[in-house]
Amino acid sequence: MVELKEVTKIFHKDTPDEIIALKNINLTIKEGEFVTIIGANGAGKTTLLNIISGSLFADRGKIFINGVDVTNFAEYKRASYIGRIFQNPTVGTASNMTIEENLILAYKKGFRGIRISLNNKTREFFKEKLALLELGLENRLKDPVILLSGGQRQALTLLMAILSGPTLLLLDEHTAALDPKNAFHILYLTDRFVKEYRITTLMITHNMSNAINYGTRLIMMDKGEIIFDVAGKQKENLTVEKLVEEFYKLRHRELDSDSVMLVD
Amino acid sequence: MLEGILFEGLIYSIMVFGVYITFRFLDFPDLTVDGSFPLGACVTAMLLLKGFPVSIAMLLAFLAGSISGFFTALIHNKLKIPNLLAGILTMTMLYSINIRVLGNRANLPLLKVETIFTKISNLASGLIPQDYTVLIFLVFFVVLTKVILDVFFITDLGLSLRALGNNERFITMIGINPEYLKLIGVSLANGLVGLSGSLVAQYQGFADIGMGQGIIISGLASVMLGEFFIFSKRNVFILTTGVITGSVFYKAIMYVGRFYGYYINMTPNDLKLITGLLIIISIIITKFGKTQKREEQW
Repeated sequence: MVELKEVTKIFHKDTPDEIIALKNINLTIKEGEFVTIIGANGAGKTTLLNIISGSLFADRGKIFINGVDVTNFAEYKRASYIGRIFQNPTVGTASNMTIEENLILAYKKGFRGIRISLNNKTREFFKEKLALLELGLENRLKDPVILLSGGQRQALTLLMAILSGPTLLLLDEHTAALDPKNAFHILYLTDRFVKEYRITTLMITHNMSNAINYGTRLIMMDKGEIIFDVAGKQKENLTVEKLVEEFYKLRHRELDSDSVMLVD
Repeated sequence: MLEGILFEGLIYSIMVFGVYITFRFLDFPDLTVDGSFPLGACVTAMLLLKGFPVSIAMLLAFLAGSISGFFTALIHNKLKIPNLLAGILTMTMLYSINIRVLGNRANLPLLKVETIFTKISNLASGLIPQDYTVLIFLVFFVVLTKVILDVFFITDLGLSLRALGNNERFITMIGINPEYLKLIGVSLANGLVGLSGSLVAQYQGFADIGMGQGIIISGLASVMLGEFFIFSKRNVFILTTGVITGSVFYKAIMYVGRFYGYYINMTPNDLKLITGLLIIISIIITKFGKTQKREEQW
């Protein structure tokens, strides 16, 4: 499904500020897997997603999506396979346009022609789907997105990503900017959609218990490397304490759990 | 005076549509306009003089405008030249090109040449006054353009163009190359500007290479005046209505300045100053209005 082969990314190469953001990463993600990614700031989590989505290009290595070598594909071309949500709720929508206009843009992914797809039939369809968000947005189709709260916007962005029919969903701390109640609701929706549509998903989170409770596989990154990778039964038996212990065993230093990872 | 305001307001509103598209929908402040406007005029004048039919002359004026817009977007996309500079480059080069188009002349009169306006006014001569025929034609022409744009901007392509100025990142994420959209949008906008230039040349009876000077600023002033009259920024139908209103209103202010300005010692030379001040005042008022609205929301 998604395969990274010996991917390396270096920032500020050949300068005193050189940072190896990704070090020879080999990663295979199978279809339908829901992978949670944890790691300290600067571990390379976001760089990993950026390399997969095409926002950044790797210095070395190859990237395959659905068996297609996308290493040299521009971001907009890869976007036809990928749905992506960021921490900042304003990134994923066109804020001055209405909810229905945003939905139709996401639903009809890719370059489009001179056709009017936004009709009463699609409106009914959108209403039905918006109702799934349980936020009352189904009655606000003509409201501009700028009037929505952060949680509502993030829920809409999630729905837009799902409606675009991605084979891969990339979530970059998409609940980090929300209050706990909204964050919980968005996570619940994410889990539900991912299971229902069986979308292969990568989710970065700073919350260790979320990383443990959600998903089918857990990856821990540190200094540009994948240092810990569990799935299935092994992941189910994981606890926060075990995870911290594991990190110490692997890295022989304390995981600064207060500043970087929220244990909850 | 009143028909002068209406005629000019309507003719120039075609140009203001173009300015609106680049400034508001695409968020691509495009200064090509100062060059593509006289380009449309020069192309039309030359073709009419050579005996081409009016329709062909106007179509080619639109195309010539589009090509200059396409060029601006292309050098912006490929050479990563900032959009303002790209527009200035094209505009400057168009100055020389326009002189070439006119056959190494700075202006070209269209006396004794059949234009769209002479044709239209002869159409119903004797039945209704010629001025009215022209006015009816202009209203029809502008409304038709408006309706075509209204429909275009609710199509899938039109929606993505509107989203571009809103959030370019979002365009990439929904799988569209923003560069294509810029090419399409800026070409369309300058096509409209060229068409407006063509109408102006036929209306005033000559093409002049200097007629583009400050067009972008008058377009922008019209856009901002128009925005005073509209209550919703979401509906394209209302937005384009605002554009026409703004254009007519701007021309009215200019007429008043020209006719009554001498009471306060103003000359036509001061009109550019007035236009600039008009824009600044509009910005101040909208800024003030916005902060008020935001307070209401809280």
